[in-house]
Amino acid sequence: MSKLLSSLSSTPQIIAHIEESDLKDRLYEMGVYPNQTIEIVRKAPFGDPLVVKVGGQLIMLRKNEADLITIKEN
Amino acid sequence: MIRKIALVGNPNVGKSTIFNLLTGLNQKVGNYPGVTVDKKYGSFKLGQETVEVVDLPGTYSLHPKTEDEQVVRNYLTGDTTPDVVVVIADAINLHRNLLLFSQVYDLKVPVILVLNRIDLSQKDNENISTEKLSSLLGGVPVIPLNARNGNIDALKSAIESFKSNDTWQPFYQSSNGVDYLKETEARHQKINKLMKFLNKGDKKSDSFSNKLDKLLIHKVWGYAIFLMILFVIFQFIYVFANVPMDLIDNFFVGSGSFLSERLPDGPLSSLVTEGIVPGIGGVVIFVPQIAFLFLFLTVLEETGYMTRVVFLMDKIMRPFGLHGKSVVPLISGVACAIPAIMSSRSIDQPKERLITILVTPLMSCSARLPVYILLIALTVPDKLVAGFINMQGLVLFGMYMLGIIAALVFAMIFKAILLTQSKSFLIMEMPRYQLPKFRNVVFNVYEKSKAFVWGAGRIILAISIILWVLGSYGPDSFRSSDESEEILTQTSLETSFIGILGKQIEPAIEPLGYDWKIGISLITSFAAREVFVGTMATIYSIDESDSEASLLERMNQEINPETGEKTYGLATGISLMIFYAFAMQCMSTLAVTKRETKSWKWPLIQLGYMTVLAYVSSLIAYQILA
Repeated sequence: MSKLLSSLSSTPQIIAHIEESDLKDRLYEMGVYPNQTIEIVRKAPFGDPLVVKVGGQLIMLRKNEADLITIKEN
Repeated sequence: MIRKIALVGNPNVGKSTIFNLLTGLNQKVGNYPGVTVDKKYGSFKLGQETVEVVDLPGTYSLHPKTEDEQVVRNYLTGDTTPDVVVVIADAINLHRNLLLFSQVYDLKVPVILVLNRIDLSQKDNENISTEKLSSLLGGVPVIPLNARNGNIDALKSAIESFKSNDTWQPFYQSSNGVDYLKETEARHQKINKLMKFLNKGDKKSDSFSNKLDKLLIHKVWGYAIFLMILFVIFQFIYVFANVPMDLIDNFFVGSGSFLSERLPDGPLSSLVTEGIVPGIGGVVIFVPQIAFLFLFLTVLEETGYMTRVVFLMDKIMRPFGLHGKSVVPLISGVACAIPAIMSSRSIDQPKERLITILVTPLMSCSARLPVYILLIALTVPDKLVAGFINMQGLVLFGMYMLGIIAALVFAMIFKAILLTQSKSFLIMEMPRYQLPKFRNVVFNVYEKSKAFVWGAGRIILAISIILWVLGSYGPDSFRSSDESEEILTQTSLETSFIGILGKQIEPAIEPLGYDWKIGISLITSFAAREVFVGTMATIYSIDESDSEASLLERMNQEINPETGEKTYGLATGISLMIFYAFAMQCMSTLAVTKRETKSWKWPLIQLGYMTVLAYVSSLIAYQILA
C-alpha cells in the first residue's frame, strides 16, 4: 500500500509510484520518479503550493501535482 | 572551422549571461516560423573568423511537449545544424542538467559541455573532476565556467580548438518501442552511476537559502515583506528621482530661453524653442524614474526573489483565473506592458496566458508615471499623513493599487466568459538566492531605458512637432498672415486646428471634468500615453509668453473661466489619472497582443473593454469628487 506524499510531514520518503497524467513526463525529467528520495521542505498557506527536495534540488509544485506522487510505506 | 554554434540548456542556468558575454551588444531577435518563440542570435569574433551564435530557448528536455521544446528539437535535427552545440549545465544541479545533455548527445551532433556556476559547486564542497567527466562522456570537451565573473575565455578557446569525435557511442541505446518514461528513467540511472565516479565530496546543502526562505516565504512574514518591498520601491522612486528630475527640468527650461534669445525671431525659432526642446525635455525627464524602476525589478529577478513571489502568490492568483507565473508579467507590467506581455510565454496554459495578456495593460506602466507625477504635483498637496507618509507618494501608491485591483477583477470576468478549458499546473525549480551582479543590473537598466528613450521618445518628439504646427496655425492664420507673433495667445490657440478639434470633443469629456486642452491630450495620447506630458508642454509653451516658467507652474496658474477655480483641481486630477490608469492608449501594446495571440480579435477586445472602463470610472470619480 502507498500513501499520498502531501499527507505526510517533512521527513524523507521513498517514491513508490507516479500516477498517470499529462505531467508524468515533466516530473520524470525533473528527477521525480519511483525509488527516489523525496522530502517536503515547505508549504504555502493551505498546503498549496509546496516545495519538495528531490535529488538535491528544490522544486515547487501545486498540491494537485504533489498528489500524483505516492510514497512507500515503511 | 567553426562558423555556427547553438546554446542549449535548462532554464535559469545562466545561458543568457553566456550569450551576452559572447555577443556583447551584437545580438538580434527574430522569429521561428509558425510559433511565438523568439529566435535570439548574434555573432562574435574568434581570431579572424566570425562565429554565429543561436541562443535556443531554455528547456528541460528535447521531448516535444511545449513550443520551446519543439523549437529546440527541430533546430538540432533540422537541415542547418550548427557546427557545435554548446550545452550549458548548472554545476550545482548537474544530475538533472545531464539529462538534457544526454538527449542532445544522442542526436549525434558535435557537442561541448559547459559546467556553469562551478564556483558555487566548489563552495558546496562538490569537487567535480571535469577530466573524469569528459572521459566518462567519451571525450566530450567539458569546460568549467563561472559566467558571473565575466570571463568566458575558456569556452572561446574550446570552440576554437574543437575537433569532432569519431568514436561516438550512444549514451542510451534506445530500442524501438521503449516508451519515453522508461527511457528517461534509464538515463537517470546511468547518470546516477556516472555521478558516483566523479569523486565528489560530501555535498553541503545551501543553509543560507534555506534560512532566508524561512522568512521570505513564511506564511505571514512572507506576504508582509512582499508588500513592504513594493511599498518601499514606490516611495523610493518618488523621493529619490526628484533630484535628477529637477536638474533635467532646469536644463531644458534654460536651454529653451538660451536658444530663444539667440535665434532670429520667426517660425524656426518658435519650432525649436516651443516644439522640439520641450518635446525632448518631456521624454528625458522621466528617465530617472524608469531607470529606478527597472533597477528594482532587475534586482528582484536576479536574486531569485521573483520565484518566491510565484510561490507566495500562486494560490491567491488561481481564483482570478491567473497563475503564480502571471505575477511576473503583471509586476513587469509596472515597467512596460510590451515586454510583460511577451514574458507571459512562460505560462504553459493557454487560458491563463490569454487572461494574463488581456489584463496586463491595466497595470500602471512607466508611461503612465509621467502623467501621474505631473498631475499629483499639480493637484495633490505635498503634506505628511500620519506624521511620516508623504501624501503624494501615497496617492501614487494608490494609483498602482487601482491598476492591480482592476486587473484582478477583469481577470475574473474573463475567466467566467472565456470558454477555453485547459489544465493548469505548476512545476518549477526554486533557484538559490544569489547577490545581484552589478554588471547584469546596469546592462539591463541601460537597455530598458534606452529602449524607452528611442522607442517611445521618437513618437513623442514627432507628435510634439506635429502638435506645434497644428497648435500654431489654424484656418485664421492663412487670412491674417501680416500680424505679428502676438497672435499666439490664448484665443489664437483656441482657433488653431488643434483647438478646434479639442473643442469638438469637449461635450463628451466635460462630465469627466476636462476642458478642450485636456481633450487635445487625450486625442494625441492614443499613440502612447506619455505623449500627454509632451502635448501639455507644447500647448502651454505656445499659450504663455513667459518661457521661463516650467510646465508645472503654468498649468497651476490655469483658471477655469466658468467656475473661477483652478482648472487642475483635485477632482479633475483624480478623474484624469483614473482615465489614464484604465484607457488603452498604446499602439505598441495592441500590436504585441496581436502578435502573441495571433489574431486581431484580442487586441480589439482589449481596446474596447479598457476604453469603456476608463470613461465610466472617470465619470463616476469626477461626479463624486466635484
